[in-house]
Amino acid sequence: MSPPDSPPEPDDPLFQRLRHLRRDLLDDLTASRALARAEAAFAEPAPRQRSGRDRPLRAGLVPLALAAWGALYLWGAVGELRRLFPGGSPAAHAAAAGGAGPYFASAGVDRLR
Amino acid sequence: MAGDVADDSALVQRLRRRERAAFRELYARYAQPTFRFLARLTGRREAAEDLHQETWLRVARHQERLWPDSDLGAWIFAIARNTFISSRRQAEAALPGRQPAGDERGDDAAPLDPDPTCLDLERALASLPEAHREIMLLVGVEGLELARAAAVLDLRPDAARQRLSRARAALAQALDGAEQPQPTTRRGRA
Repeated sequence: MSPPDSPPEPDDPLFQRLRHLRRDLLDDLTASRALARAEAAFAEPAPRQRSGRDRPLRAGLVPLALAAWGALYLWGAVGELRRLFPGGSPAAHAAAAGGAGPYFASAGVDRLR
Repeated sequence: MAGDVADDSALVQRLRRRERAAFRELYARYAQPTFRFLARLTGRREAAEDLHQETWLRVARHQERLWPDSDLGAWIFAIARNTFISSRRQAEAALPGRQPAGDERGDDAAPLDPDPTCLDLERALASLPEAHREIMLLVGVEGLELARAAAVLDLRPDAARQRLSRARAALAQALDGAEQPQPTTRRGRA
């Protein structure tokens, strides 16, 4: 008798009986139908895989968008400052306002004169 | 047995090139073994036909997962087994309390294999717990080596060896029980 948990021998009579169950059970019609469907699926183009080349491009899009947004914001801010101080820098206006500082200058004190 | 690894390696190369003829060859080689496996797992022909079709759709759609050294037989049997497990889980989720697909065997169900000389063996196999049944089907019926069956069942080789040995003992016991006369049962039915 073989010890417990040892693998069955190849000439094990029970395994030889089991081999007799290895006969075709699938009928031709069902087999052909399954093959036709599977073959159609096989012929379909494979779902597009993200290639390694795409990844850096996609990863770089977010910082690029942030940088563009930052540049636009800066450009807007500079434009607004120029609109408020068309003649020169805020420091020069502050000096012209008697050292009142940029607050008065930015409040348009010189325009009120 | 269901496909040798050496024979399969050339076929894997052709499948990776998406040759349609290679897919037909693959089907010719493995359609019957996967159907037999599924039919004896579910115990019902109609369920096995559905699962067989689903298995081959998955095989067709996942060719890119094949590697040059892939074991085709183990890969296809693993897909078939996973298809069976997912369908059973879906059925259990849809109808809680319903018997799982593999346990829906009734005495009135038509036998999978009409050969009367194999009826007792079929019944004994069907009476095994699923874990025992699947390893007996892979190794005993389909003739997979133990290491390949272990890969299909996601087991370590020593665990597979142990399970196979216990499954063999359980099958032998089920056959002995079937061969011995059961007077009480017969009297009860008569």
